Amino acid sequence: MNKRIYERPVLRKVVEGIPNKFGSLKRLRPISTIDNVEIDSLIEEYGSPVFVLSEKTIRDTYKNAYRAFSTRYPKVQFAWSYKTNYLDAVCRIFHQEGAWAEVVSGFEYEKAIDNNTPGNKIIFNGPDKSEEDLVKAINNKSIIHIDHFDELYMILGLTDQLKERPQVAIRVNMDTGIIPQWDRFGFNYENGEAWNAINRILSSKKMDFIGLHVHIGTYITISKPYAVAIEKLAALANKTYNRFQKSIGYIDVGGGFASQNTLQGAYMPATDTTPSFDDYAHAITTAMTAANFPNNETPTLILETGRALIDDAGWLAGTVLANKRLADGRRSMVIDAGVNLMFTSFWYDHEIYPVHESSYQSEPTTIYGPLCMNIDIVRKNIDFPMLNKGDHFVIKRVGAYTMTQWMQFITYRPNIVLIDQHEKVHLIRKQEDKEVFRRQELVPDYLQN
Amino acid sequence: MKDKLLKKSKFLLEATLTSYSQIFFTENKILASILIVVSFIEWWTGLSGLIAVLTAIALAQLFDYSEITTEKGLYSFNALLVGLGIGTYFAPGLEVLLLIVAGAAIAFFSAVFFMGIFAKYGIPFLSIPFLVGMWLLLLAFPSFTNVALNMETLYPSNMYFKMGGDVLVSVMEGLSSFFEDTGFDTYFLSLGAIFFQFNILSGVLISLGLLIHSRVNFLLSLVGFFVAYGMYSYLGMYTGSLNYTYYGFNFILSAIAIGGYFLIPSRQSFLLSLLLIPVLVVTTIGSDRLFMYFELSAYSLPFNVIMIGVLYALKIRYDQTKGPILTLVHLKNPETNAYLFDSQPAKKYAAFTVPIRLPFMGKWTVNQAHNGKYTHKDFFRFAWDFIIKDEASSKEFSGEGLLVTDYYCYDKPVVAPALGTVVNVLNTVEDNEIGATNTLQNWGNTVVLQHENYLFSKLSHLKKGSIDVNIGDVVVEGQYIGKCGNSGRSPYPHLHFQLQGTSKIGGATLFWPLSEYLVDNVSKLNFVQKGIPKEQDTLLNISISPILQSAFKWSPGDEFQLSMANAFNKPVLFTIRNEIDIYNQSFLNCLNTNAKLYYENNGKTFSALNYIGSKKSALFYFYSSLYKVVLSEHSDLSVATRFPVHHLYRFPMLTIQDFLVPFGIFLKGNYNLSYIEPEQTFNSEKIELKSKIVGHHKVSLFSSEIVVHKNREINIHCDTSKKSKIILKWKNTLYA
Repeated sequence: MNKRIYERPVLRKVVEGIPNKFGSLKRLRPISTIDNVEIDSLIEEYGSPVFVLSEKTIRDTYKNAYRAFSTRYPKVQFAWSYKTNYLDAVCRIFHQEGAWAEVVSGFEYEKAIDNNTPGNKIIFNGPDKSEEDLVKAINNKSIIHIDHFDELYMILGLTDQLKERPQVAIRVNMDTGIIPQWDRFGFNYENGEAWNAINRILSSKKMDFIGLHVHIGTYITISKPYAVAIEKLAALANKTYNRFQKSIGYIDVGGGFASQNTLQGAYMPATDTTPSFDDYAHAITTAMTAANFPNNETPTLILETGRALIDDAGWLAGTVLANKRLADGRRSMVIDAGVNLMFTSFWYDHEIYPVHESSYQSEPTTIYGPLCMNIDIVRKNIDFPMLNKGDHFVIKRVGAYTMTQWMQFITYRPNIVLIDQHEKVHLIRKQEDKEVFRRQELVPDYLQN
Repeated sequence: MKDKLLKKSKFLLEATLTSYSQIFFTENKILASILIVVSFIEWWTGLSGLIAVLTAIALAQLFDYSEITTEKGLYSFNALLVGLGIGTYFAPGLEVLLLIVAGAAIAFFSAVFFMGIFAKYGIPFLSIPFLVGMWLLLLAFPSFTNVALNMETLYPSNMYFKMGGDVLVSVMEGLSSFFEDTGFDTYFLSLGAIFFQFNILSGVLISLGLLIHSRVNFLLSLVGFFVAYGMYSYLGMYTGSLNYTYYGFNFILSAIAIGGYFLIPSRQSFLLSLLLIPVLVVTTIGSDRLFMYFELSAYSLPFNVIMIGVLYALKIRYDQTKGPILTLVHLKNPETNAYLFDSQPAKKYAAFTVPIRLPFMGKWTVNQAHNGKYTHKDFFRFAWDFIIKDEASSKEFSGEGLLVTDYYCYDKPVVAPALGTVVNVLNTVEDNEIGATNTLQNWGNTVVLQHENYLFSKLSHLKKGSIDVNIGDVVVEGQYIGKCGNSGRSPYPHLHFQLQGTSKIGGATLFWPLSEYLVDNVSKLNFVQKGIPKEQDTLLNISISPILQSAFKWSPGDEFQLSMANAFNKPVLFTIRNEIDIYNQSFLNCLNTNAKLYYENNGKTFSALNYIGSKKSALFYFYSSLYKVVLSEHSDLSVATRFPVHHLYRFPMLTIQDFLVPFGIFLKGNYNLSYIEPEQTFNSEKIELKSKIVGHHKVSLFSSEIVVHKNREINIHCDTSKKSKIILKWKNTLYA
């Protein structure tokens, strides 16, 4: 007979109201493995905390997404949004699955090239592209999504010096009935800027105008805004064709598909409310099929999905540092991973689980990170079983933005491992140590000794 | 005027020559010339034949019948036979001349009549008109007291002496004694008898002509005859009777007709031609005894009766895709038919002219194919069930699969497989829960489209309320129709697809192959021109490349400049014109060499169908490089097919193969086309392709690198087996 678990006394506020017919589940089931690999053994080998990525989940999610669109529309292409997670191993998995690269800076562009992405399969987005970046992109025949007139003029200026013709598209923003209107990126449709930009591009005769890019927002599950957006793009394409006899090759509807992480303040858990790829695919492809594009051609549909493709594949495993009672009597727990690793905690209620059963009771708890900063709160209020110091926990769905937006603040950033399809573990990013920082820093002579 | 006269005489010459060769089912000029010479071994017989031919041609012209049919000798070859017969039986004279004209007229009008009747059943009239004409004349003969029998042919040695003196007599006698008792004497006599020339020399000359025209026919003539010869001895008949009854040619002609002409030469057709010989032997002997009562010879009656019966039986078979295959288009000779047929696997589906494509987007998997194990049986055996599978897990659902929405194919668009009209819609059947079936409304929500008078397609088990078309709507290929659902007899979501002959929901299925689709083969996509998808095949439609599509889109009358150069010479220019003939067949005509490249472009593939003419034309290399181009933009596509071997090999390999055609085609020429990923996905300026033709032991016989430009120019670098490099440039001179 196993030794029975010691239960500490619990304080619980009596919650009023009507429970649903299933009662309310107060107990979190522990998660002790990821793809059949013991979390304890991962922490033992790679330290605590540790980011864990599942290759199987990445590939499955990608296939699901691609299938949802490709069985509804004849020409579909995904471009992996580098900013979501630009670990080389992750990018390469997406490239192997057939995704192109979508980058928003010179740094990401270099990474894409290093990951053996052919130049013509890189989409260069964003408002910040230096002259040097543009020269590289043009020479590599990459697709440049122009964001503003100053960039357009810069490219025009470059065409005289370069042999290759730039392959360009413009990002268009518009009123689709969605609030907030994302008008800070690209050229506005309603005020004629977009049409003006197209005219300048095509009148210059120095660039190839190949597509239109739009990104209407996130969490949009009804067809109407997509229909409005795509209708407006089709109108733009028709106008372009009528004036320049030039049909466009693709419509890029951007990304913005939500993951299953629950936003703070949401009434229902995201697992119940988040639209599936099929929902998005239905909305977008219906609009694409209904629109009349010029010359009876079918433009390729490009998707720059990031978050929804990777979030589920990422896990963060760590260790409890301490438990304490707050002034108002609430329980709190300090863990070794905070907002330095999960910037996303500012807007998500991350799902956190114990690795082992430690108690059958749970208590409203505030979970703090390890930083010596008041804002380092992982979960403000969660019914959580009582873990002891040294116990392990794991946080679900941390694949997107964490590993790119994390901060080196107060402490080093940890190891990242990848569990491959055969359940073998690979270290894909080493934890930082003092050498990493020493290498970057310079101490003036007079401060030596 | 002079031109007109020249044209007329050319026409007359052509029609006359083919009247002779048509007896051996060909328009070969060499064989025709030999046959004319043979017929003139006895001058009066030869002249009678020629007069009869001219009479028939004159009648065809007088009645203004089709010049093309006349030119093929189809109106006049029976008259020729009648003329030859009269010439053999009756001595020269004006009265007989009248009989020849009359006989030719009978043969001509009978030919017109039988052609009209038989054409409806798709069978040939063979030499029935000759039999009618000949029998009528012979029955009438005893009344013509002014007409004498031709004694010359009764005493042939006298005739040879008159014609060629001692030399000819000794040649003839030498030949007879050489072949005596070998059976070959009878074989040659039988061959000569087709032209009413009862001597061995004619037989030798005709068999030589046959050999030049076609090795297969030559072989078949021997096999047909000697099997019959063997039968005669086996059944205890006097084989010498074949010497004077002249029935031997029945076996020769039927072996050629079945083994070589009306069927594509193959093992099956060869076997069939052998099996028919005993039948013919019995028919010959029986009809001979019957006709003896009328003091007539049965001539070619046994051949006619058996051939027409067999061909009709073959023609009305339900499944025409199984061998032996009927020859639809007759080319130069039977071996060419066999080579071309072998090189185009889709040809056995040639009768299924309406292209039907896959009714969905993306990759779907066949869950139940023809004669499936669940429900595709009996009336419904020619149907397909499609689902979507996850590549990694090869499961068709996510989660536990207990909800319809777990299934990957559920709620996915279903599109029209071809241009058609909506003729039946049912959109009100509830979708089943997983595992439940609704056998009362068996087909569930269904759309039936009409593509042709006789061809309908049915898409079933769709989602309730998802159907977006109404009866009477015209839909184009790829147009959205509804969504995959789980209604009717459907325990889990799938798409049922079938072709049928009526507009009814629940109609019996019709065998019909699908056209131009891709089969997913791990990392490659394999192209299928026409085929029947099998269970567990994962399929997708072709996505068309605008560059390839426009580069191969030519209008009749377009002229192209094809320049050919190698490393040393300066380019030679060939002018190529795109033309279209009265059979709606498109071809490229090299105006310099008159070589022709027949092709078909159905918007999805450019397929070379045949090449005729000089191989020195640059068009030949164009043909070898672009034998089959799928106008696709998938660069992971591989197109593999066979290249006609008679365009790859020469004497002696090809000649040996010619003889062996009835036993199989052993020479190899595998054509392969691969696509190189374009530098620019959008706004690409060119598409690069690589083709190669590989023989036995992977020996490269030909390879080429092809660049198709957006401005519709094509550049080709060829490497031939002779290690020479050739550069071709293809340019439309009308646009340039």
